[in-house]
Amino acid sequence: MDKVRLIDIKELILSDNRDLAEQIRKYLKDNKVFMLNLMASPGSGKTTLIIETLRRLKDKYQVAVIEGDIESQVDADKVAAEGVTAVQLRTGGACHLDAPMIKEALDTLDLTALDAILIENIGNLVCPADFDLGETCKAVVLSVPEGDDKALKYPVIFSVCDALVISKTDYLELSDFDPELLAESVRRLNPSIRIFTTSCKTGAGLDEWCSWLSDQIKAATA
Amino acid sequence: MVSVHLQAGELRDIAAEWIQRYFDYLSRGTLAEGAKIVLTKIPAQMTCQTCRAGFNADIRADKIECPECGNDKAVLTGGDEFFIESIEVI
Ligand SMILES: Nc1nc2c(ncn2[C@@H]2O[C@H](COP(=O)(O)OP(=O)(O)OP(=O)(O)O)[C@@H](O)[C@H]2O)c(=O)[nH]1
Ligand SMILES: [Mg+2]
Ligand SMILES: [Zn+2]
Repeated sequence: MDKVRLIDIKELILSDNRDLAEQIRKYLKDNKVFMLNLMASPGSGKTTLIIETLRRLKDKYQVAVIEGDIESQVDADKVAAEGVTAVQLRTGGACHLDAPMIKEALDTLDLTALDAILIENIGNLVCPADFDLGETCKAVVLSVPEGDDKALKYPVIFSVCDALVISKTDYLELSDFDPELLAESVRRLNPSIRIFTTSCKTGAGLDEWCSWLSDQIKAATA
Repeated sequence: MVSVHLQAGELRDIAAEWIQRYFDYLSRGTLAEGAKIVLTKIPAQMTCQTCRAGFNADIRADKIECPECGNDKAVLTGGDEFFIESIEVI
């Protein structure tokens, strides 16, 4: 019988995505553009948060939005209605964005005229966390109706993000959601994460979130 | 090809049976057809912020504390690996 040979490979899976993401990161840096990868489950309030953020920042910075969706372009239309450039990426079934898709979207934008790009990832708390898009910062939105135990159930996304936005806090009084309990379980995985509690209905916490984002944009464009 | 040895950190949501199923489908009619996927999980690694001890952590546990000093301030330092370690061929 033929002898079985063991061949060492030691090759990273997803290394092509990582390599392209690094190229994108460099391209953004060369052009002094900040890019945010905003992740969350479906319906948690990503688009609403982006719209409220644009209303507060669009006069200060040149911003564009990349909208990831499986189908449709309703979210891109909402952004465009704010007078902001929106690129719709339709993944046709894929449950996350990856670096090649972002590259395609960036190729349609003039980076020299931009300060910041906000990416709305596909609604999903699992797969997006595994794919580097070349972003400057990652943030995750978690809405009050989803429950305060999500860091225990989806630990990866909370461990890789620079910021957590607890959204829809106007629902808190109807709910047993404990923001402190969530914050505690998230900080255990990620002690340096910034946590914001917001409501796009009342406007609570949005200025704090935008001021943090503004600091990140300033640092990237300086 | 007899087998493919994969290593995946605990932070990667990898389902071994699905990897084998997709691999079987994609490898049909190639040299890799029939190869077994052998997946080894790498535990999540944390480093204690107080005493700098490194330890394996169950990130889905209700409480994570340092086995050396008992403190609960620790940062993730490993567990997102995902790579092909080796292949076995005849
Ligand atoms: N009460 C309340 N409702 C909100 C808030 N933010 C968003 N919503 C509502 O939640 C619903 C979903 O919001 P979207 O912003 O579309 O959520 P999304 O995460 O972009 O959803 P997908 O793109 O479909 O994954 C909409 O009906 C919003 O009006 C909030 O702060 N408070
Ligand atoms: Mg949306
Ligand atoms: Zn310790």
